[in-house]
Amino acid sequence: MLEHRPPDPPRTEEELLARVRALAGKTLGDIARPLHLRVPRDLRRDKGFVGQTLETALGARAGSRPIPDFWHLGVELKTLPIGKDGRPRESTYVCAVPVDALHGLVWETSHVRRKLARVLFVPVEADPARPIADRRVGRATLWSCDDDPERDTLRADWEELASLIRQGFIDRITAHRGRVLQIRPKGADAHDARATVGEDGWLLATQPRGWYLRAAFTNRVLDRHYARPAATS
Amino acid sequence: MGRVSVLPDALANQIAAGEVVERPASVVKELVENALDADASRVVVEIAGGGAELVRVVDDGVGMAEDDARTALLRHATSKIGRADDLLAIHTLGFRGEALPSIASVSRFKLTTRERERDAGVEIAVDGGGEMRVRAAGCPTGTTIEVADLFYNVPARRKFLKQKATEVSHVANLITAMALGHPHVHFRLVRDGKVAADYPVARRLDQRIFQVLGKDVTRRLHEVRLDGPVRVLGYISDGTYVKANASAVHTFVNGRHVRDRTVTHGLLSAYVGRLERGYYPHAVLYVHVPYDQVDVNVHPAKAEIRFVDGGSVHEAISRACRITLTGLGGSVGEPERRVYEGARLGGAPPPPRQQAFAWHLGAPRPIGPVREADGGYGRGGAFYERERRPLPPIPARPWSPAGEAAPAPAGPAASGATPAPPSPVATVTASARPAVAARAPAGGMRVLGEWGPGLLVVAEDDALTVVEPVAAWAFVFSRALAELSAAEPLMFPTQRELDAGDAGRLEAVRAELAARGVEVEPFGGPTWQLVGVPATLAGTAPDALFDALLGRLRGGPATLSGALDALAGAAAASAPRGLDAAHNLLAQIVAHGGLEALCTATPKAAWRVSLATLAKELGR
Repeated sequence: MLEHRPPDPPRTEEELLARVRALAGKTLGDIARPLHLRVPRDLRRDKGFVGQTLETALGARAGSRPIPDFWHLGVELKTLPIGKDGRPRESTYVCAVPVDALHGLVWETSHVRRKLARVLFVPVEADPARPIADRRVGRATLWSCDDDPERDTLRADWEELASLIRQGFIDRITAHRGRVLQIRPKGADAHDARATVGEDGWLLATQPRGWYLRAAFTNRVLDRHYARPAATS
Repeated sequence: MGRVSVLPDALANQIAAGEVVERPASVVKELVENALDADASRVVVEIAGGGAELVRVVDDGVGMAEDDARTALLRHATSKIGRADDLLAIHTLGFRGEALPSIASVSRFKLTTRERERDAGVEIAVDGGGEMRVRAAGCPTGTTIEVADLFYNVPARRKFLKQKATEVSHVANLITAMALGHPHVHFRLVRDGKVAADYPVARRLDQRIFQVLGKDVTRRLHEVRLDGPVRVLGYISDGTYVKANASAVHTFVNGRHVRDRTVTHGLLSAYVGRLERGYYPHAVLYVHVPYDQVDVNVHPAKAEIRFVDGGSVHEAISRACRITLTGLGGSVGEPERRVYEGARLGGAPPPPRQQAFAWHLGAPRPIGPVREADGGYGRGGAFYERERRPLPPIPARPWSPAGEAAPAPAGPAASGATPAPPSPVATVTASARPAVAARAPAGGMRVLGEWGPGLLVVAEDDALTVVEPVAAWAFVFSRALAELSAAEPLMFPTQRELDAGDAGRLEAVRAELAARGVEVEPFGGPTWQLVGVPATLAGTAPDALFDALLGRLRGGPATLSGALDALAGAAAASAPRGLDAAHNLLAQIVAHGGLEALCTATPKAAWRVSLATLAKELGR
């Protein structure tokens, strides 16, 4: 029953790409079944199912640690839920905002930049009308923020938002800020809290936040890579 | 006479005084700043009656000639700036040219001044902004300004003055701040004839702190030093030596005493986890920012400033203080995540001239002497001297890699080149798709309009052509597909189940299709999938393309030309129609040989009549 065991981490980038290439066109049910993963009826309570299934199928071991999923290859796996119109249905979570540890970081050394240095975007169908098990996985694309035409915008967004947090304006940050990168609350529940410097300079309890790539941005990334009818661009 | 009129100068000055002169301490501030801008090494401030009766500021600066002294009392007269560009990099403490006339308009004002190289000085007296009374006077080098009976002609303002003790404390606090900001200047405060504070010239910052703040405070301060585009220097206490208000926080930006949120917040943010809420450390912090990176022209009294890049200033201050606090150990310490290029501490320390400061021995990280070679605090000190050396500008992104302007990755191979073998997963490349809409068709063609069942009427100089757009698009796509090109991946492969015969026919042309960017592959079992198409076909639904391809292969022998025709037909069927798309269609036709080539290759796509033929038919 070797086929039921999750694969070992890929040893090379080529091996990883070959594995993800072999998944293109398969349904989540096809992928989950041999791994003995239960396919949930909806994703509200199993939000991480799609990502975890693909991580398992591809041999990722990083879990929730703040390192790339394939840390030895420096590759982060990101699934992109794609709607019926061919566009990403939601923004893409990058990593947690270290609200208490942004000092001393610059873009090059930031968690965001490290996470986005090499990203394997895997589109997954996310038409709500289609059962989860029947949703197909698309062809993956290996993307690097340093090679993206909008890399300067990405950096500028990070610098602006990080600067605001450092200067204590974290509560003024809304999801409207940032052209391609945004900050939104992300916590287990309302009681989850982190300490950061407030506007007056002292510690302030605030909700955890995450960095997100805007859906319009990832849509442009997809548009630059995939052959798509103009209507989805 | 209209209702709108220009105010008299005296009244305008009194209004300006409302902004600049709030209380005696405001007068002292303006006059001391003038003295410092005049390169004074000694400033004596005398006050009587809390400053309301008398403020006298005596300096040994460069002084003024009579003409300059007269002009100085006119509104908007200043020696500190001359052009609008000077506002972008203000080196002096004052620059507005408002203070003296404003003060003179609300007091009995007397200015006595003498330049160093002149034998006699001049005295100018003005009462309540009235006429100047000028006379020659014998006086020491420098300038002495007396402001008596402040607000004597503005009783409403005089009522707002507080008790004498309160006003004196404001003046004393101001002198404290000035003295800390200018260690190389001798300050003396005389209150009602008695010396209240005397701070001789300090060669080092620690001497001045000792003079001003006293032994108990100084021994608990620790040095802060950071070089870079934003330079930070000073002394701070650890998180255990605090006050419940910010009165012990003295911050200076380019020598100017400021209460700036960015600076204070940068300082406090370094104390995260070390400071109880509501408490402030003791700190004397000097921040030096290139002059063109800070705007002091925000507030009449220059109480507020604005940084061009507040984030960098905040970060530099926070980092500098963190480094010091982390070195002290203590409750919370966060590792610095960035390599810190420490201050250059070269050069041998000079022998101490005054105190040996034995009191600091044994402190965990005591104040060390500021080395002359490293920028002592006497005149000529590298750090604090009025900046005459050009500072390196703050780069927009100091950490920007050298290859900032690296070109975007190249797109797929151009048409005609041998396509690269399909990689399992391609990296994102710049799109090589043809322009969607070329507004002006080449070749001197004009679209006259749409006619009948979607036909396009196109005029050239010597011919008129009626184009059937679907067939014309099929011609364009056929020509484009005949060329070798790379495949663009489809986000989701299009899958179809084939029987053995269809699969065999598809397999027969698979390699040739792949060379033209059409990638099909077996998926498992009877299922095949279309996984990539050339950029030319990117606008067409993959389902339609795959179905057309399979339909053609089922209906006859598996030939490449048949397969390409099927794909071109499917793409043409879904191509955009109408006048808006006509320009793009014509541009594509021109790119593939023009209308004549279209008529020759696909007679059903166009009907063409030359002007000569038409003239002959019409008998002209």
